[in-house]
Amino acid sequence: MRNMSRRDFLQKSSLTVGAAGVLAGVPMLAGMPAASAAAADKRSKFAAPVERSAARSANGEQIVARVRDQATGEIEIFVGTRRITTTDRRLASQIADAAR
Amino acid sequence: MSSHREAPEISKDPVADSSDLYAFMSPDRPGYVTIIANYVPMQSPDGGPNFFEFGDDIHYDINIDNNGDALPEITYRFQFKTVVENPASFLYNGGPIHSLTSKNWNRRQHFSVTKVVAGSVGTVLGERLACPPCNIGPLSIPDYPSLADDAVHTLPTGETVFCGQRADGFYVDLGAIFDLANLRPFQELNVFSPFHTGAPGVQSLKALNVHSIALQVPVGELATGSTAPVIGVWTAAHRQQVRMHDSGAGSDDRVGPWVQVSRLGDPLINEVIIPMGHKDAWNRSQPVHDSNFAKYYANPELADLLPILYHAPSSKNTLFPNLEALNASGKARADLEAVLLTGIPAGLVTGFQNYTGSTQADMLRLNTSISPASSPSNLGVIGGDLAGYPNGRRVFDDVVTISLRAVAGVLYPLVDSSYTPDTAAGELTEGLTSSASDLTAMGTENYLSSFPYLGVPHSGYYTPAS
Repeated sequence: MRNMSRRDFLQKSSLTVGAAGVLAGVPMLAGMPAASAAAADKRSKFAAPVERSAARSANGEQIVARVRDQATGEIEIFVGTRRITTTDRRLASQIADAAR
Repeated sequence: MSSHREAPEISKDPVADSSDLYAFMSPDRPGYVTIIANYVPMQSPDGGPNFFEFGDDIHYDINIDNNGDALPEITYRFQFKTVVENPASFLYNGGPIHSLTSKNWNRRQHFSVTKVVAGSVGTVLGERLACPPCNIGPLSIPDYPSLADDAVHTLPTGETVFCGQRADGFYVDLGAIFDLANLRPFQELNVFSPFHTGAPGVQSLKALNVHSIALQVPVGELATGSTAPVIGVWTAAHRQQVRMHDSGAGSDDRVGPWVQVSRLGDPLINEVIIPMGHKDAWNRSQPVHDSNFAKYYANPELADLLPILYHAPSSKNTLFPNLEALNASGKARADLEAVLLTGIPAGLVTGFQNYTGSTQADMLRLNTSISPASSPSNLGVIGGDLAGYPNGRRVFDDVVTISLRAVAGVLYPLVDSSYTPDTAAGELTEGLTSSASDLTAMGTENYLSSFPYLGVPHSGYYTPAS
């Protein structure tokens, strides 16, 4: 995570967000808030595929994050064969807000 | 079943479902231990066009504890890679497969073997080792036994390995067991029974296949720790923690550390001993933490059921009065705890021990100093054959009958000489063997006399006739 800013992370990640043990997928489409993306999907099942820019680590591995506890800001980051736990209440809140 | 579909979550993930584990001194190769871990259970041999295979996204481990700490001092890790030669064809094979390099074989697997000694990063012992195809039928694979023989690999470091489809060697009467433990030979004695006479058992797995990971290793490579000549063996399957189903990419993403989703040491533990609410947790926990489950060994539910289910003819008297009294006493089943969690200490069975210390753990314990029997008993140690289960496990051991009798109390005198087992306890059987010397398992007679010991898989073409 040292090579990625928080802004990059939020804008580029394909995120998985969990709260109280329940996982909820959050499609983060480039330049489109999640709610808008969902609405677009409902309008037409033939909507053109949307280019996605999944977050990658420095060596090209997929990155997935899970908010384990929004209150404490505990976030698990999965990359390669590693799980990294970090604490960032502001980031956890931003992810949770994006999931609403 | 031994451990086929034995827990709610793993029953939905067959490629990671460890169904049987065997460990024995090789009868045809002195000084070598054979270990077989079976996965992908309950295969109907004609189950195409996508026939059965190992998971490319799974680590299959065979673990060895040789110092009694219930942690692996040695792990053999098997990883698989699937190759599709022609993605434009829906066929598994486009013509007869005469060799493991046949161009007619469209979807194949190969595997690597890595040996991890505790504290090391691991050494790759072999790579791109071919698995055999599934046994489709005589037109697709005219000489299956020969083709499968070609998939037995000897590694430069001395191990012999085979990974591929085999006939399931386990035998069990599933229909009877799961119908209120209605053992067919005694079905007229079950309190719920509408039957008036007994009946032969039914071998539920007679025509089913499985995928085997078979390993043969010099004993000197394994029994090197403080419990020598005894080793503890278990298998475990691991998946990466996160999997994302990606509709756009046509494939899934997997990230995160490898986590255990399935394990197996002794047969029937998660099947029968561990209660429903803890089976998934048991599969995900390590043997070193098995003291958390010890209370289920100490008072197994099945021991309570037997006296209730089986009564004497035309009587309300149970066939298991002594077991009923033992249950009522509330005493822990120290016999089962010893056999299944620590191994049998010296002094209880003349000429035998497979004790690994006080750490309680589910491992298949093998005393490698016991030579293969010249006249084996399918009842193993309780049949007077010290080379059989629970001293490791051979392919023909009748582990269901052994376990039923053990739960019914035949071993309790080992820890309490004043206890007399019920007569019925020593007569329990599923009716799948004609005697203790019957090593054919009622139609599972295609066991092999040499590695990998489990028989040639049943042919898809001849199913269900075979």
